[in-house]
Amino acid sequence: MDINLKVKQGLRIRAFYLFFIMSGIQIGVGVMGTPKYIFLDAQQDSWISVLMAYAAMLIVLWVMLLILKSYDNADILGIQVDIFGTWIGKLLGTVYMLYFAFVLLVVLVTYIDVVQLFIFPQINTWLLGFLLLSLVVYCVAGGLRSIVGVVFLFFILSHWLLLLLAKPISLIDISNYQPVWQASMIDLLKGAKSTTFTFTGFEIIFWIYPFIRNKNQVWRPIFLGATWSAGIILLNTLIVIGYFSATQARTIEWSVLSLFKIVELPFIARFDFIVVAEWMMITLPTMMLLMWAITQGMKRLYHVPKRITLYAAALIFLVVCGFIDEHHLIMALNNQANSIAFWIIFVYPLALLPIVKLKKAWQSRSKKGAKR
Amino acid sequence: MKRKNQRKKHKDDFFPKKIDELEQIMQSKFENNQDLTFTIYEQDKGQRAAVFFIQYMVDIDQVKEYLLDPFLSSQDAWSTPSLKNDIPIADQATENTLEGILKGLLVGKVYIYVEGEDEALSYFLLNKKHRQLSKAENESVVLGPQIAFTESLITNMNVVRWSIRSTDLVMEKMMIGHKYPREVCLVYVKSVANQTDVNTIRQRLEDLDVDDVEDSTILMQLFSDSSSSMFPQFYATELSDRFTHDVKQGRIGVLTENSPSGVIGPSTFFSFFESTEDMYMRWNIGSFLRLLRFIAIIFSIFITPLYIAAVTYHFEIIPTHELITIGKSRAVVPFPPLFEAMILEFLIELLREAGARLPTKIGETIGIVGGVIIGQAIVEAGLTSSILIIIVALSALSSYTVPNYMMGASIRIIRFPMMILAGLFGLIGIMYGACFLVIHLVKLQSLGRPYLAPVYPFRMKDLNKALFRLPLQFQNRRFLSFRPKEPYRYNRQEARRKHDVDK
Amino acid sequence: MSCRMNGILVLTVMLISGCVQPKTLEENGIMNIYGVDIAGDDQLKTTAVFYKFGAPGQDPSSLVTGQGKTLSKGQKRMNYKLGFQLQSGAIELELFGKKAAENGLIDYLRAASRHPRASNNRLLAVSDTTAKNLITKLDGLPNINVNQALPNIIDVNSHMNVIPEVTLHNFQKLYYEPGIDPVMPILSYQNERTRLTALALFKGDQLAGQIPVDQAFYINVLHQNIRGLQQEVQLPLQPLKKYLLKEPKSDQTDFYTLFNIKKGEGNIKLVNKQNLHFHTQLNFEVNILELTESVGLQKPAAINAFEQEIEKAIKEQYEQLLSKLQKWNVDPMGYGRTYKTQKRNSPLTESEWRDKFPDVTFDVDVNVDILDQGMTP
Repeated sequence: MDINLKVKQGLRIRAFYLFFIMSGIQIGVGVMGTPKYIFLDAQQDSWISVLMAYAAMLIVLWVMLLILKSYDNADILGIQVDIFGTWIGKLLGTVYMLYFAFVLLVVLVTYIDVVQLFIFPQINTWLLGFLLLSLVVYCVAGGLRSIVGVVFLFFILSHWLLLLLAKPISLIDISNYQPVWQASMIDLLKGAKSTTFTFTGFEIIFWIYPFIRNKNQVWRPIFLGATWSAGIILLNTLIVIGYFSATQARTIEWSVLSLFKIVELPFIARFDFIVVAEWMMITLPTMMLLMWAITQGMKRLYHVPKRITLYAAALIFLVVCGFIDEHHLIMALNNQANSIAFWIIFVYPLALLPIVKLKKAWQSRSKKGAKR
Repeated sequence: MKRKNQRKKHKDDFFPKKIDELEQIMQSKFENNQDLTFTIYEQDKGQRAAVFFIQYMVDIDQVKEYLLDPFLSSQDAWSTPSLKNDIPIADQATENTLEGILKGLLVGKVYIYVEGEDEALSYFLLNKKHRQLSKAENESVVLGPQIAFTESLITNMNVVRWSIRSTDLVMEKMMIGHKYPREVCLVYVKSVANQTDVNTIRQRLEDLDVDDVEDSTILMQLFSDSSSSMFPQFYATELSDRFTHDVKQGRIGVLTENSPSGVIGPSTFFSFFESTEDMYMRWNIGSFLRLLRFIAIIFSIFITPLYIAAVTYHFEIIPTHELITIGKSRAVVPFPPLFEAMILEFLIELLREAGARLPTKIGETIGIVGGVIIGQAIVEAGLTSSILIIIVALSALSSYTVPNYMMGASIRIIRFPMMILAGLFGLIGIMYGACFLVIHLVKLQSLGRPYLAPVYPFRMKDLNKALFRLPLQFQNRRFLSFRPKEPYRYNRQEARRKHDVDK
Repeated sequence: MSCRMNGILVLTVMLISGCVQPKTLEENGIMNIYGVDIAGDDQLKTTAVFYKFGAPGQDPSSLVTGQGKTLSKGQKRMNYKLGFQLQSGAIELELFGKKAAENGLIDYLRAASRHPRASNNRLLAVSDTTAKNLITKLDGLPNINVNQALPNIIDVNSHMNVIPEVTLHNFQKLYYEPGIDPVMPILSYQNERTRLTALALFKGDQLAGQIPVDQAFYINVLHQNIRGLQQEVQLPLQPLKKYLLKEPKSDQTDFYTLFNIKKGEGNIKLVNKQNLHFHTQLNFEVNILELTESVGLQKPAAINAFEQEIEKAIKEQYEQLLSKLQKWNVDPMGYGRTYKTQKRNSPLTESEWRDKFPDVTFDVDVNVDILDQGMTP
């Protein structure tokens, strides 16, 4: 297996699109319900937890870029093979891919659950799963360029939802945030840890890095994209704290969607139906990018053609998602994904960096020795 | 020495022949057609010559005046070289194969064969009947030139060459179709158009293996990128100013004999919503018109499905006051909303199609009868609700704001699957349809170039040509997404320089 | 996979799994007003005004009642009486009978909001007698406009800032929050019309007392900025006698003035944390609209005196209101909420505030600015 990828010129994408990829994959299904879980730990200081998680994410992103820049044109699979050897490297790559598959499944069933709760109680889970997966397959079959195009367009087409938040913002009660700094540091950190699953997605950088055309300008879009998604999560958390009373914020399940229940326009009385339907445009980019990563991984590690992985994986997801339709099971899966994600996306890059640096230092030293 | 001037003789040369023999062969080729006019002339000195042509393909007056007159009044003995100098027609050629002669006769050549010579002399005196230049019938503009292309390639080329007075204009001719060959002309400005695009089109046309090409739109379908998509990938237009404007910007145009539309490629999704009027009006009005068109098509695609979804599944979306009105009008209808809407949409498509096929005199009456009377009667009979008629009529009206007829047809057809999706899955169905459309458009390509340029791949500098217009000071670049050779039209600094006050 | 295969698969899956359950507009009864009462021995009586779009020309609104131990049972009973389902997605107003309100409303509200397809925007109100009485009065005049009148009364009044807007969402929010109690408008049937007569004050979720509608704006001013509300105040004539332009009409000692509050705001400050002493500041910018006696307001001294009289009158009313509130032990203005924002180390609980509230001390400062008094003196 090649450590450094050779990517055709026509398949490369500009670094500009990394902003949309980052925000597209991070703002997904987690935004809808996260404020409740942070509130359980940190109460009215939940927004501080979000800021802490954002700071941690920036550090990890910086570390990831350092790791990637040590190589010419490698993605995480190549790096793992380089450092840990072929067998362990491939094993780690497979674990990463399975993690992505798990996250995809959780995102899929969570969205189906939300639709069943808010719009159609009797809709068949398989049907919704089929609709969503067919769109994912149709797009991923077009290659990375069409995925990035769709992510870009859906980003633009779905952000008008932020304007609807004006009405809940006008009903915010400032006293809900006071007194400030009541929660202890432990609680704040616990709250920050529960945002992990919401922030998950930025590890796609490890996979997409070889396909970027102008790698020297990579930091700015990544930083802006991470800030944008963190900003949206922060905004939502702030509004939920201010709009709902403490007990409500602790108990209402999909708090962000409930914010939209009171929005009214002269020609549309209830916006939450439209918001939940529009959320499809927010969920799909996440699923498409994850599916692409899975097909890419299978091709790199096991030389399975992308088309076969695509159809097989879609079929497996379709069959499995039909069995996961109980709410508590879905919530348990979300929590599980949260814990796993914490280790893979936050801890792993930090642990990987010193190893990579050591290896590079050892390599250059042995090169210098060989020269002499 | 003489060998240099002599042509090599092949064993199966058709000429030289005796005149009588030639006449027999010709008549046998045109057995049941009395089209061929074969005249034998004899000079005093005994030299015989034959003049033959298809009489209604040829300009008889010119034949008499410029060919027969000098030919018959020539004092010397007839021979091919002397005739070449005597006859004052410019377009002359020689032919020595039977196939060549037959093909030449079909396109209006007049042949003179002097007995005993090695080749026949041909003159191109085509009298093709064609329409006069007239106004465009299917596309109309309010301001600006109104000339439309006609079926004659020569006339079209005349118009184009006169509009683009540049030495860089190239008009490549090729013949497409092996059983019924037809002339196709590739038009581009060689200093601006992208070389890859030119090569791609040329290669696609040359690789075409068809027996016939009836119209340029069929040619367009033959070399399109995707045959399964509902959206046209090339822009077909009747208007000559639109065609020449695009060619000047660096695109490549294709003109076909016997076809009044010119095909332009590569084109983007947004170019189908441009009309040359946006340019001729001031920039603010042009931007407003273009914005209006975009809103109109979104409205047209989504409003009927939204109505169906709201009434069938999500009545909570409708505010209470409108709910009462809609409910009252729905109460009389025996069908579910999906069927009701399908009936009405079908009716409107019938009216449109019938109006297009009927002769003009009846067509106008049917329009009024169908539109007003049938519509009113349907409401009173209780087959549909009055609100739905307004919605369907408005959406049909909005879909006609698209300047290009083919794109308008695509938009109208898209509405049907959307309605079915809305009727089956409500709002989720509409969102599914919208996502599917977006994904489809992103994957579509026109001549290998992305269909949604300049929105994706995003190029800020091109947005002012596709989505809105800016004052002309800011329009100094050509459409960069297609990588023309010369990106700049004029100097930007000079264009924006303002003189000081009171100078 | 080509488009054609995709299409065939979609069709197959749709046929196999069946489509979505439709909820067509004209096949269901759409509830508009919903009433909850307590009947004897634990039973709930539900009344609903709904629209059924049936034959044309007929008025679609009708009334139905049901009974049961839970709200859903009551609704099911109502469904049995009719030939179609009743849908609750478009309920505009939910009325509660007085007894039901006194018993505690939170169960009904929780039942309503448990449904994610419920509308959070529905207005809440209490009826003077029972909900059924009030709703059935409407039925005597079969007219959709009359049905709309009921929610409109509340809607318009809340937009005019007479009463705070009470929806399902903010009632629950105020209920769950310690240190502030929710309120609800009271509707009653007087003189053949339904009127807004009072504002109900809740202790937790139980009706504890009521204040007349004119005084509702004292509560309103502490929740939001008031703009454009007309108030009438009774003022003593004696201090303003020297500014009278003509003789007083009769031997009255008081006269009335009507003014328009152009902008009114109020805020609460906790002055002393130990003794729980609150300072309430009310600021009004008013335009004088009417006077029953012709007091000349041209001179600055006259305006000052007038302002002071209005301030005194409002302050007195407010202090009376506060003592009533302390007697009932309800806190609709949010004094407890202000205390909570400054209480560190342990959050304020509901029971703690109930203990403390009757002993709290207040001082009120009212500031009135007369912006203009019209064109005539």
